[in-house]
Amino acid sequence: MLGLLVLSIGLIGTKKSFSDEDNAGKMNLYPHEIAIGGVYMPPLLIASLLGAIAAVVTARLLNRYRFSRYFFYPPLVFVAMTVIYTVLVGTFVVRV
Amino acid sequence: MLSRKAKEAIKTGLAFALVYAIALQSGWLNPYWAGFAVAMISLQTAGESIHKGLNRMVGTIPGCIAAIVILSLTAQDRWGFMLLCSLWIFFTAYMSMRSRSSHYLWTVAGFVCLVIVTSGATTSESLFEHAVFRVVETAMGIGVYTLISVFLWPQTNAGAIRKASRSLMATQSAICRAGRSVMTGEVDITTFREQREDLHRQELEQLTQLAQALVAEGSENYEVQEIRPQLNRFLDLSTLLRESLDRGQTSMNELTHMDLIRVLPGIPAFFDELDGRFEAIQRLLKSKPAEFKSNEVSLSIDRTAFADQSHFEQAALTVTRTELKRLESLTAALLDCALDLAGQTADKSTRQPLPDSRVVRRGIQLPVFDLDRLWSATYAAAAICVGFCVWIYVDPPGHSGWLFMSGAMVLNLILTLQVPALKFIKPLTVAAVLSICVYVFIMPRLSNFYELGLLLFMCMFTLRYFFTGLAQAMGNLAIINMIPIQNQQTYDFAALANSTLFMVGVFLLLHFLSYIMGSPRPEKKLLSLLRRFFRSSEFLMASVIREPGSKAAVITQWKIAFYLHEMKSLPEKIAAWGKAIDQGKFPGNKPEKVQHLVTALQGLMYRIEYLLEARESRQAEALAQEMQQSLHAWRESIESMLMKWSENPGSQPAADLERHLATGLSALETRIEATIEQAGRENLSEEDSESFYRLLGAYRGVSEATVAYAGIAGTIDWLDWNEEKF
Repeated sequence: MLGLLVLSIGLIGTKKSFSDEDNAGKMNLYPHEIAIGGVYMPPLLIASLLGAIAAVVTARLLNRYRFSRYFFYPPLVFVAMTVIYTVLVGTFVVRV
Repeated sequence: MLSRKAKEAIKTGLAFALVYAIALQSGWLNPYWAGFAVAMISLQTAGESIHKGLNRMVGTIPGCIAAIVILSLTAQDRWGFMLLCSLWIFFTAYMSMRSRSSHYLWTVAGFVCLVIVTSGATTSESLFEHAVFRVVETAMGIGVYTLISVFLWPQTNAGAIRKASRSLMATQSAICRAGRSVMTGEVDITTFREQREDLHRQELEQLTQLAQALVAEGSENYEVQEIRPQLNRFLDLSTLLRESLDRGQTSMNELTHMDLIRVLPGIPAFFDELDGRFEAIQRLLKSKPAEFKSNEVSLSIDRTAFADQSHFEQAALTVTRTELKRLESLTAALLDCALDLAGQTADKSTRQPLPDSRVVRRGIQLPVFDLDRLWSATYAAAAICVGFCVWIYVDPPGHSGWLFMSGAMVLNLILTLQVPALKFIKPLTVAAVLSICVYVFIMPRLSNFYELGLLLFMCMFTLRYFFTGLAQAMGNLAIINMIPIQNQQTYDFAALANSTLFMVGVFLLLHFLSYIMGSPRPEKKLLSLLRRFFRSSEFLMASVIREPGSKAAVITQWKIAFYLHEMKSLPEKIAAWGKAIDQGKFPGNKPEKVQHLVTALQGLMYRIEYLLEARESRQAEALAQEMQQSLHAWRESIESMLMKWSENPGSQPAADLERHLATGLSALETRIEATIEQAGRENLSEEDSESFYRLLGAYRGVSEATVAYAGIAGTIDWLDWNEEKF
């Protein structure tokens, strides 16, 4: 999660440029910025935030129904869940 | 009429705006350094602020010197630079945890060094200039706030020491009276325990208040400084008295079924004398005459009634008598100290020296380290190394800030390890967003310093008036970092957004790194500390085998001292981590249960300590040998129990253990009777007899305390704490 966060904050304020040919056919596959209230955010930041929120919600549910006891080391599971959710969100929702 | 809170907020806001005005007017480097000084040292009273300000000032100088030395030696060597920075942080972190009243000085010395080395100085002159400006602006911030706090609505601590001392004496007197009523059979042991728990809590709070009052009033009053040694002695004696009262409490169980007045007929007179002393001390602290003539009281034993008791009862009585004698010496010393403070001379000719409660150590003594402090210092040093690597190899926004911000934050985190780094993120983010709003929407509309000054005043006033604790600390950080002010003002939203993410990133990094000290989850930490407590106890119990009075090897002495320190310091740490357990996640164990667990551990700790002391006294050879042989099986069962607990603190039900130990001890009693008969009762001197019964009482005490812990452990839901949760 830290790596993702570091990468994402590294992208803030960075302007990405691509050649017209590249942009022509595969626009959605390239990094792009997300504007929130006129402020441009890197998609990885949004994806990692959503990933972290999803991991927190999952962890709470696992605690509530006592499924967390089946894990050997929950802190590591939490990090893994954050990474998985971030990848999923980045692939299917935000398109990193 | 303004409230005290509003006045304090106005004072801080005013000082904050003024220091910016001075720094900007003079064209000084980084005006926010002076702002930081004000924000950090503004506390409730002038004395506390002066003390913290002095610590900040004194800490800044070694920090700057260390920075100049580090950069001079390793300007071209990145690994040497990292190593020296982490060593400095390791040292200052350890010292800040070790120091009782100057921990802030060491914290400042640590992070100021990092601030200077990462200030961007490219030449020796510029490095020196940065260091000088840091010192000058810190001094200016402290000076301005001190002047304002002294002249504008001054909040002094005058009389705080006397007030705190009087309350403490009243509580300790009440504890003595509660002890008296249980000894004379007026109150049963259960009622006594309930009363004692409340009083114990009060006593601890008042001792802390007294220590704080000593620092605060001492910083603002020269007269207090003059009598500082006497006041420190008063605090030390009160702390020893608390320990003695705690030790006395653990032996109450064994006395409840005895007719104490018959064996120790002097008990009522003894407690009357203690009452008189406590009253006299309180009167002296009110600057009134003592109107009390202290007499030495002897707790003579009625030999006939004593001989009627079983050996174990005689042993319990001997232990109690020793503790009461210690209580007598301590209260006499406290009265002398109070007389000294009141300017009256105490008659010291008849006083006996205070009994030393420490286990005697001879020969070369190696220093004993606190394991938790070492781990915390390692954590701080590791944070520096990782922060440095992030800066050098990844270089995300924040850049060199990853080094100094990690250092500054970790030095504060290690002082309150029970608060996880993640808890800082929410208030920090909220404060940062609010500060960014001020920066984006208000600051560009300002046209002169009067408007800017008013804005700074309002920001600091709002923070001081409406927020406390963590929110206030994070607010300070956000206001100073997120509202950058320069003479040639420029605006950069991206820089602030990056700063916010960078600070959040630093706390995330520190949270991950906190796993290097074991799990930061309070319930897991508590279990790990419990295991350490029992490992130490087991080692100390095993060390009892050594011949009494014999000289151990230096390394064995060091090990005994180390494990003794571990055993004595762990119950307090366990209590602190116990309070941090989230009751929502772990509803199985209420806070009262944790408190009972800690009390049981303290009981065991005092008993083992007492046993080690009793082992050092001279023993009659025949009895000592007999006891050594007879106690072999008993000691083995205690040691194996402690070993089991060091692996699993909740193992074995109390009933089995109690029966097992009771069988061992009753067999011992029969053998002792036979040995005494064989040796001849009349051949046993009074001193030998007392030493022997002290030792026997100490063994029995350990047995009782072990059973007590097992009883408490049986009520704890260990599965709940052991269960893995997020």
